[in-house]
This record gives sequence, C-alpha cells and structure tokens, in this order.
Amino acid sequence: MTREEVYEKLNEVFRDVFDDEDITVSDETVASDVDGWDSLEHINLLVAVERAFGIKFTMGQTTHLKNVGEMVDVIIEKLG
Amino acid sequence: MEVHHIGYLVKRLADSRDAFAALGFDVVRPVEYDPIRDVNIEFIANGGYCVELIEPASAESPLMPLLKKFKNAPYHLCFIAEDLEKAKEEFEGCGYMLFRDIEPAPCLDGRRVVFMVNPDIGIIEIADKEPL
Repeated sequence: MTREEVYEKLNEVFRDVFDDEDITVSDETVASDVDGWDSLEHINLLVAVERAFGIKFTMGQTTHLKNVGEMVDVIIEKLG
Repeated sequence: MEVHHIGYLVKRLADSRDAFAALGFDVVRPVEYDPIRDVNIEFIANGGYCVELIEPASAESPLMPLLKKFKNAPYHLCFIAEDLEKAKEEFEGCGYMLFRDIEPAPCLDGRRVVFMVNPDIGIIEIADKEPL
C-alpha cells in the first residue's frame, strides 16, 4: 500500500471517528488541529486505525506518536 | 462478567445525590476522596442498580476533561474480574485499548481497577473481585 493509499483510507477513519466529513489529515497534522481529538478520542482513533488496516499498535507507539505522519510511518511499517 | 456499578460523572455531587434520591436512590457508601484521580466518589443504589457518582475535585483532576466532554452523564460500566491481569490481556486482544492502567481504587476498598476503551461502547472499568 502506497503512502497515498494509506492516507486515503486514514482520512476515511478520521472522518468517521470525529464525525467530520471535511477532515483531511497530512504528515504535519497534530491533535490540536482536529476538533475533539482528546485523550479518549485518541484511543478511539487508534482502535479504528487498527481495525481499518488490520494492524496492532504497541503500547509505546500509542503514546509516542508526534503527528499523523509518524502514525502513517508506523502503519506502512506494519503493513510492510 | 458481573456488573458492579455504573460510573456517573457529575459536576456537583451533593446536588446529584439529591436528584437521584428523588428517583429512589439511597447512599450505600458516603462520599470519599480518591487522591489518585483527584475525585470525590459516592456510591448510591436503587434495587440492583449501583451508581458511582464521580465529581472531579479540582480543575487538575484527570476526570475534568471527561466531565467537560460528557457533562452530567453515565460514562462507564464497571465489571468484576476473577483475574484482573488476565481480563486486561483478554480485552486487549479483542478490540479494547488501555485508557488507564491498573491502579488501586481507594473508594473500592483498595481493589485494583483498569480502564479500557472500545470504540463501539466507550469506556469500561474492570475491578478485582476482592481487595488484594
């Protein structure tokens, strides 16, 4: 799966989790850029990402992701 | 797993206690302070329904963001586990993610509890059957 394909699916996940059809995330997107992205929604987002991509984050990965770009890096690594 | 209680966030515990009393709820464990979570907790019950009223004690309480998000509202179900570590592991393997790791709950007689999240149902708490 290419980075662009990952982003295509990831944007669908973000739109579903945050109930906002206008969300488009990028490498630089951080929690403060998305309305409602708090600690609880972060967990909901990670579980939704796991389901969408058929992957499993480790505990360290769930707490140390600095931005969406790092999340995409992890997704691609796990899909590899 | 047996349901122990429904966790209910409240802004002003005394006012909520009165409102629940009018609905037939009696205090079964008077208000206590939980220093780990910086909250005041009181257990009330009506028949088989036990409700944990949870009031953030300060703006710094880790529960304050949830109160701002949910307002006065139920926000978790607490289940009793025979083996807490095993239950945590099993839930992690079937779509739940850790929200707050295992810690003692002073207002549950020091039983340990863990909070987990499933996007389809929200937050659940799992508690030891007995205090360690």
